[in-house]
Amino acid sequence: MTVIIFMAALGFLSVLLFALPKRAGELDPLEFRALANDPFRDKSASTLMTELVRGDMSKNVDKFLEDHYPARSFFIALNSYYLRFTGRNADQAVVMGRNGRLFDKPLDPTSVYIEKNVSKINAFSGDNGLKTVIAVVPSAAETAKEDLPAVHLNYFDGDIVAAVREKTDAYVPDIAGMFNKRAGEYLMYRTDHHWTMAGAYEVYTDIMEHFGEEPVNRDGFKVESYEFYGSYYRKAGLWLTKPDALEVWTSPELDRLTTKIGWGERTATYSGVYDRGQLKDGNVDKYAAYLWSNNAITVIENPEGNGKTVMLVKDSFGNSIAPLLALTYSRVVMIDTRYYNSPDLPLPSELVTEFGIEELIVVLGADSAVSDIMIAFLR
Amino acid sequence: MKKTLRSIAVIMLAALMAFAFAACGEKKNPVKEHDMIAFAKDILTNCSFQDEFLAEIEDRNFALTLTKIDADLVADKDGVKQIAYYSSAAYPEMIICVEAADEAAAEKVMEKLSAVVERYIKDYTEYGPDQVEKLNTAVKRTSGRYVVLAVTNDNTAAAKYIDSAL
Repeated sequence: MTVIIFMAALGFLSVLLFALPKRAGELDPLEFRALANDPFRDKSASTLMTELVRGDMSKNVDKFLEDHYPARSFFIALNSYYLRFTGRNADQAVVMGRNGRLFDKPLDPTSVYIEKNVSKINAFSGDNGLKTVIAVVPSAAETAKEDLPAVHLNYFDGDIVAAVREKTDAYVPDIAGMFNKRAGEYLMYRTDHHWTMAGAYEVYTDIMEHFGEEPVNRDGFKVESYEFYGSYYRKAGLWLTKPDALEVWTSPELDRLTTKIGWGERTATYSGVYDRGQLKDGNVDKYAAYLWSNNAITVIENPEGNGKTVMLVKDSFGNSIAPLLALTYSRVVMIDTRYYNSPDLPLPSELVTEFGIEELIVVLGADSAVSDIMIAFLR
Repeated sequence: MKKTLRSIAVIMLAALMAFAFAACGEKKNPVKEHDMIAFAKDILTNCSFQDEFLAEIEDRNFALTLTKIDADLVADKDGVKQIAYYSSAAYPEMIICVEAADEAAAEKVMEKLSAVVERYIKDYTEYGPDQVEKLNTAVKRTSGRYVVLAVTNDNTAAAKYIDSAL
């Protein structure tokens, strides 16, 4: 009888798999990724034969079936919660913590890339005579330890920041120290690896004081709040987790800034610093509202700045701090380590000369500091 | 009757083995000679890209640095490393064509190019998921000592073009 029920259930799901409409190529709103395309659609017989011989066809079919299995999201969540409530939480790619907070897996503090990345930054800074700050942002495992679950692996973000500090004469802010002094405040998102706007503001203030500049007053901002599910949520399958609140800080001064994305004839110019189209209900990636998401080069101009230009080398962490920097500086030249590899773009040293840059701020998540980031472009 | 059937079966098996050995002894088709720098330009001209500004990294040593390919693995012609790298500042589209030093080097070059794609997949998964499919279906081909990686706006058509030309 059990066998019959089991076979009937499998058979029913298989019928649904073939009968239900597919969302091939569409963005799944929970996982924020494109679902697999139909492996046979719009392909000629010869292309299909080539794929069959190369073994690609079976992989494509597998991916398609995986992505379009009926009630897929439900089964993903069932599995995710089951693993976490049966003692395997600490070993998952995303760890479920207290107070609705999610954590990434620990990073490797012995990674060879720490030294490689810092050496490259030191060389660039030295060659161009730049006063430099390297802000390595530790994860919430270092800055919101009170939310770690009772059983968890050891985290080494503090060691990673210390390793960076040891290898450079540049100023390396103690972000964990700053954030831990304000424990309980909303400085890191709970479902995402990024800091909040408030967290970015704390580090901005510290960097401005280091450079002898007056930071803008926080009281001058109006705060708008939007429901937001971050990168950890998408990876974890823990669909019952409460959303974060993405904060968009606005002010007349921010509205007067001009944002230029791209270089040369490809430059697109915008008013202000927010792509408000990304904040609409139903849009999954609201973080993309900051500075029109991630681009190889972004230049923010402030007609009422301090007359100086700063270079900001960043991964995704720079997008929320750059607008704040642009309220102090006349120009922020922001370059992204991951995309700055086109020959159409000027060398970073050419940008230093062109804009008379004297100060360099590098903002990286701890996960980037230990990774093979595309720092080769920094020359 | 039984004896006849047995004889027929033996003859057929012997014929099958003879064909199998003949296939083993068959000569491989010789690999065509290519100019990979020109080939990369052909791919740019004949395949479809979302970025109309895909540009060549003319500094070939820098191209090796970006792809993390050891210079010794790449063939040299008149002092010019045989690697062509076209990249985009806006999308994960690229063309990388390499003439490796030999077939063994070609395998190592392909490993490095696969790592380039994996790196892009990791970044674009977070911030540009609509582009990840292009990377997942990237055209990766090795023929003798020639290695090709192409991430285009229509990888199916690109694969057809590259397979016919390579």
